[in-house]
Amino acid sequence: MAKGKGISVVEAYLVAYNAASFVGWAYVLVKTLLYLSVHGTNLDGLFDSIGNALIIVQTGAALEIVHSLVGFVRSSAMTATLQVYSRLNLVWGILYMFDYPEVRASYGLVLMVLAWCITECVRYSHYALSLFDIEVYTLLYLRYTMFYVLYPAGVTGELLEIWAALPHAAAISSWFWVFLVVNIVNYPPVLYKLYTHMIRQRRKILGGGADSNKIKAAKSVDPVVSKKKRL
Amino acid sequence: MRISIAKRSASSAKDASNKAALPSPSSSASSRYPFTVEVSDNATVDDLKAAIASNVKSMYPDRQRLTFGDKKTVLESGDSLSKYGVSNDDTVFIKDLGPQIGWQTVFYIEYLGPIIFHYIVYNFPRIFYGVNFEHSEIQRRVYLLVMAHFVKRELETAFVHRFSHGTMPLMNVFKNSFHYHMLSGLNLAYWVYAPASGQGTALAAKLGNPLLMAIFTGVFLFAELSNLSTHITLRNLRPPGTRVRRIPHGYGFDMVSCPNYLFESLAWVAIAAMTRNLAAVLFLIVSSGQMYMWAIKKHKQYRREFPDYPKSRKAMIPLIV
Repeated sequence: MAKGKGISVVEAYLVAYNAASFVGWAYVLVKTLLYLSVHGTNLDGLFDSIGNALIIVQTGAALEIVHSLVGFVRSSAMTATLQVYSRLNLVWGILYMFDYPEVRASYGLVLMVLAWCITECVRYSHYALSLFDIEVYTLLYLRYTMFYVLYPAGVTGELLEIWAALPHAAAISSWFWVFLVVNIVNYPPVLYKLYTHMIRQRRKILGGGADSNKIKAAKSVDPVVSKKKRL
Repeated sequence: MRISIAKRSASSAKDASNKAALPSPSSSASSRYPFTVEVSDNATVDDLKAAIASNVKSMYPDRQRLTFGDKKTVLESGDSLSKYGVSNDDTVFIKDLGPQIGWQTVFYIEYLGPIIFHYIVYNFPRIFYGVNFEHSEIQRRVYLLVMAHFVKRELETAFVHRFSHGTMPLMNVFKNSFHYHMLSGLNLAYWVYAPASGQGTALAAKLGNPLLMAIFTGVFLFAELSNLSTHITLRNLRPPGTRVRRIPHGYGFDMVSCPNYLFESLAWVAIAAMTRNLAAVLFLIVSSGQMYMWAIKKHKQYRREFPDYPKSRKAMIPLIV
């Protein structure tokens, strides 16, 4: 947002989108934590509690592909598609498709949901605030530090879920099974690339500590935040 | 003698005795600098700080960081100015450390947080879990022990610990308190007093093994009393008003430099073992990790300062590290 220019319609929409996504993910997070604290390891009712909200808010992320295509946001539609695709695959292709406890009442689900929620809450609040040119160092620090644990945790959860769905997928069609196996096989290289990318970003952004130069540098390497087209 | 007080700017760093130091153009607040103060020839650093404070109302002594010379030697409280070679018409540079808060106050605040959080989460479960339920024996036990731990800490802050003149920047109290208030306060309370291990649950039955509970409680009490003993030893090490530094001896100290950290960690090991809860493990890892780093530093300080420091002593864990 340019200083003194006020907020454009597109920016207002983006703020609304990011804020709504944040609220959605925070809701799923709180409900999950509540469920765990009340029921402990008895996960039978977990999907009933958060399933719909989770599917809705994760599907909403597909809009980010549209934002890139239409130019609301300066990040490649390709990146957005890759990120959203794997999530949609899990949410629709696995969670929605397979109503079995191995899939809907598993530790894999818990791991996956917690990792996603925490990551997304930080990410959306970061984007929403940056539309107002507000940089909160703590958020920046969390975003570029928590991934050390959250990426592996989330990936573990996702792999456990896909793994649990395999026999049921095979019962539907062997091509579905093959598709899922190909998915699994793709995880190591993709995780490696994303992980090392984040490590490099972290060094660039958090390298020397928080002064405005570093934060300006952060804006220049963080593709979505910086260089927003003023429409 | 007359001392000139100035703010260091990047350009004047080379010329320490620059009597005509120009006001730094980047800071409007430095228009009052440089100014001169008058102190006696055998004045101490504290006398100088007091003189500065009477000149600039907001700059109380704890807020001042005074340096002198090209080497930017810091003038320490308690020393005389002559120790640093400061003499008449010299320039001493001042840095504003910002609003300060005393260590004792910080301790009071830090330990109060967990007391409040545990009290609220334990007694008002409906707010946090949406349900009312009865706590199990293991939850009652942990509540008692954790509350006792932090009440002990408050009492030690009031009556045992000796606080030297130390302060920290006011804003640091939030960073410091976060660790206690959030990790050992809210987070620990939320997961330990949750309905999942409430009265009648399978989890409570598993955790509530009477023999194990007794053993872990015993270890906890042993750790707390040992920790208290080490704090008292440390207190007695330095008579009030002096700045003597001595090698500590006695219970715990004969094996490690920082037995207080050792026993503190042991207490939290007992809690983590008793509850077998991730939140307790997380707090244990973070607090022990931090204490370990402090212990290594302290151990190195002791070794550097005392050539006759007992060689067999380790930093925090006997015989190991």
